[in-house]
Amino acid sequence: MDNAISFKNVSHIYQPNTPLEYHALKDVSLKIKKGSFVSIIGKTGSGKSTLIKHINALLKPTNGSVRIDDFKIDNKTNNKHLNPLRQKVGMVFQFPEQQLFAETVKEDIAFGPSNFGIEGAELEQKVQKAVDTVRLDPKLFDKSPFDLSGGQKRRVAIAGVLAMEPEILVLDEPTAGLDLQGQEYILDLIKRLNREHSMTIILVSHQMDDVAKYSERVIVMSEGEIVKKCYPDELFTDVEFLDQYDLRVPETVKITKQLGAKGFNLDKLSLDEDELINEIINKLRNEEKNE
Amino acid sequence: MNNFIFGRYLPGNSIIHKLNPAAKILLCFIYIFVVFFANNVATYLLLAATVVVFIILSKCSLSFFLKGIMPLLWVIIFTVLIQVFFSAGGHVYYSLGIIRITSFGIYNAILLFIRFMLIIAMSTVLTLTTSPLEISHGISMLLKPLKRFKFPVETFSLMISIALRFVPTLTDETKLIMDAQRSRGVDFGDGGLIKRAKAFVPLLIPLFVSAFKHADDLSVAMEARGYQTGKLRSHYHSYKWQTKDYSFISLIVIITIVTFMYRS
Repeated sequence: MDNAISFKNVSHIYQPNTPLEYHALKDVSLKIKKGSFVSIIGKTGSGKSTLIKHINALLKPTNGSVRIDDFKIDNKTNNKHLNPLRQKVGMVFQFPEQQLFAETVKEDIAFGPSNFGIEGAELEQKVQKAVDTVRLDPKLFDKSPFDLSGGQKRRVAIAGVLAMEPEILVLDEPTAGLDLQGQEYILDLIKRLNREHSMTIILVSHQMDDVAKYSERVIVMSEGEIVKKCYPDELFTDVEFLDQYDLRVPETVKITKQLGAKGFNLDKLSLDEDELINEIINKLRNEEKNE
Repeated sequence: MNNFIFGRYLPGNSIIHKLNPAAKILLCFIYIFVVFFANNVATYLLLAATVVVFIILSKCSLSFFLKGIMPLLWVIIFTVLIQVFFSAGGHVYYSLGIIRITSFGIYNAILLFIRFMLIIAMSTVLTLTTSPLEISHGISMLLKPLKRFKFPVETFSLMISIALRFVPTLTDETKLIMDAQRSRGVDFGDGGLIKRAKAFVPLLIPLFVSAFKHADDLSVAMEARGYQTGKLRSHYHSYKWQTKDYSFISLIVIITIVTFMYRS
């Protein structure tokens, strides 16, 4: 099977049969390929968080079914045998530093794998590997997680998820509230995991620049429905669509457009700032040659 | 848990929703007081009718209301059964060891059941129609006379309103942390007592830490906006007593008098 995740006509209703009933997902179907980098965007309250919670059965569909590799989740799924699934799908929630609790950084990182029954040398090795991946200073190992800085805390939290060695990593706004350096650090880390370990990445983000730069596919949600599934360059050239759903245009697209308006037309739309710079330089060089 | 409505607030604009919160709390208080004095069929019918009228006036669907208080029924039935089996006195119908079913016990059990139901119904009407903030305003209005006895009414009501304001925030946070730990392999509500208790450590510690952080941030923000303890403050919301408040209060007073007249 090629698909890591597939949703089939999934609906989710919070508090059914009460006056507070709320349809968070309406008949959502989607497929995500193994090893791909997919971003989910949409306004607050469009159902993104509800959608991702289905990926490791924190929520179960009211209707329809979700398939993750060999696991099938529908409204009859028992809560008992979900641990292998949870090990397969790592979830990094918004502000994951809130979930730290152990006495030392090391213990906190080891918490996830030890819940899945991993012990001794193997546990030690997994923790070490996760710490290496997020490039955390070994000096911090025996410190209390509450003594660390915001950026370090978040790295520890992410390491705690990576130590479970998930095949699918779901991140809900992993860069929210970090400074620019911290944001870049986390995103590069995610990209590296995607490229080097062919981990399937699902990123929920409001940062259009990051979505444009990193993701291979984009899913746009609005009011509990998927309104578009496409490649990032397809999405970000469709200004009308972006306007309709109140989505921002990435800076690179804006710059390309403004240059175009002044008569400086680039051949290609770049979604990465380095690429854009190269594109402009090449264009200038070519113009020089032609003169 | 989904249908459980005790203590929840449902926004609306019925006449009960618009009553002065202090009046509503007072109403509820008097009603509970009266429930304990009623002791025969006539008085209980009157009190039951009152609560039904209140539910209808609050425009809450009756079936939703009944379904919502069902979970509490088990607690009540448990208490009632204890009354039935272990009360002494009156005519003995059946006895086995320490278990004794007596006429007195059955009478007490029925009384207990009715009282429980009426009190729960009335207080649910109160919480369903009054937002937490209104409740705290109501309490502080009712506590105002205590100021004479040096009771810090302002501080107390501020504490209540902050506590109520943070209930949903902390509930959301609890859910979030629970989800995060569950996805790290914690199984809440599985295994024996000790295993279950241990599973709550990764939930409680982050929750306390975050509560401390909230308290710290909030106190700094309040101070930055000029809050000082003990200083006299003006209020943004002022609840006036209106004709409808007086009429509801008089209604409950009349019901009280009638109950006391007809109790045996």
